[in-house]
Amino acid sequence: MKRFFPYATALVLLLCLCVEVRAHRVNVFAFVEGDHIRVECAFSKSRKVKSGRIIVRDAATGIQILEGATDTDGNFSFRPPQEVLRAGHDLSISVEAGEGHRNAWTVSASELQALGPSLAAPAAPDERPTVPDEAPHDTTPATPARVGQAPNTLPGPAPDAQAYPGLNAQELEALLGKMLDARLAPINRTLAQLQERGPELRDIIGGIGWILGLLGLAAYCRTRRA
Amino acid sequence: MHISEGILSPAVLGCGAALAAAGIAIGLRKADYSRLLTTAVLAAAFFTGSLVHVPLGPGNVHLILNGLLGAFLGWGVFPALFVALLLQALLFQFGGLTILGVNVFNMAFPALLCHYLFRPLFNSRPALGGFCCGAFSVAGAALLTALALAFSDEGFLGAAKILFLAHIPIILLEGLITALALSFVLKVRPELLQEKLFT
Repeated sequence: MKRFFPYATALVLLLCLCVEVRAHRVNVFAFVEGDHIRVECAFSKSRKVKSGRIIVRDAATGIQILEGATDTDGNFSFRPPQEVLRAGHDLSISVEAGEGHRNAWTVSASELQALGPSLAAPAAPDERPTVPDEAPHDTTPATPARVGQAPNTLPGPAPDAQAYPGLNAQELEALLGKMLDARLAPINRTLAQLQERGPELRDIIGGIGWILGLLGLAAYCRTRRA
Repeated sequence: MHISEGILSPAVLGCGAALAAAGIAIGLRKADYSRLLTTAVLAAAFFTGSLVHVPLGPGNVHLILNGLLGAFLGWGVFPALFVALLLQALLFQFGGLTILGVNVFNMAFPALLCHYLFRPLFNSRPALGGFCCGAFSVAGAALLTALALAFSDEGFLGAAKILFLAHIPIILLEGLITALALSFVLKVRPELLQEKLFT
């Protein structure tokens, strides 16, 4: 016990030094924002990955789609090419931050669907007032509302539900998308920060416990043999 | 200094694992059971030491302490680092399981070399011996890491330069810490460094 005491003190001192605990693995997080995918890379909340190498791959086939580098805030945005969206595969986004640091994040195909229609059929605002029932891409649920609105495009006292008369499906979608992005941004940030969870006291104590447990095991085996 | 998974080629991974396994086997064979506690406590120190970040320089600087372990443990540094790095990989997600062998060898081998190179200094000039042990072990680990990365696309010279520059502060700091620890132990508990230490 007397031998153990100085060690224990040293260990406690070392633990006290751990005030500034920061993960030194690299974290990567990606989400759909507007018509592009935003990638955020960081070692910790305050230390972003500057000019880290980003590689985007098709998760199903492993084919590299594009490559890029993060900016000084550790961010990178890209528009996935259309053929990838059509294939309906997941995207695997990996970051290589140098010195052997690497991590990857997968954007699932279901998330990518949000990008699909708006990219496949770019909004054409001028066609709005002409023939509302001839739209070739009637996949969105907003369409029935649009058909109902169409006769009301003439100026007049607009009822509440039709505060924006003549808004076509794509414009509505774009508007809603913008609003949702703004609303969801804090949630996305929080999710990104959760990804950056560093080692907690629980992990540290658990690890020391494991080492002492192994010590006990070795000592036990030794006394059995003796 | 922990290399992440998915960076190195299978050949390098296999080599690292084999070398580390050999080191661990020798370390266990040479194990002196009266030093079990020292080994465990130093492994725990290494395990937590990686969490002590030093706000120095631009790099991702944290304590490594492999030189300290090497100075005290000799060949025992292999099993001690294996356990500590395994737990770091499992609990902190530093490094990874497939890369464990490479990481163990990269950190343990320079420490072992330093142990034999600077051992003669321990009794006459413990501070100098400790400093060299701490500093050169980290420098050697950086060199081996760069060598391992050279087989990926980073290029040896580039990686080595970055690793060295980033670790200069920690090389000095490790030297200082190891020197302090060694002189302290020599004053307080000299038998820790002498009794059957250098088997």
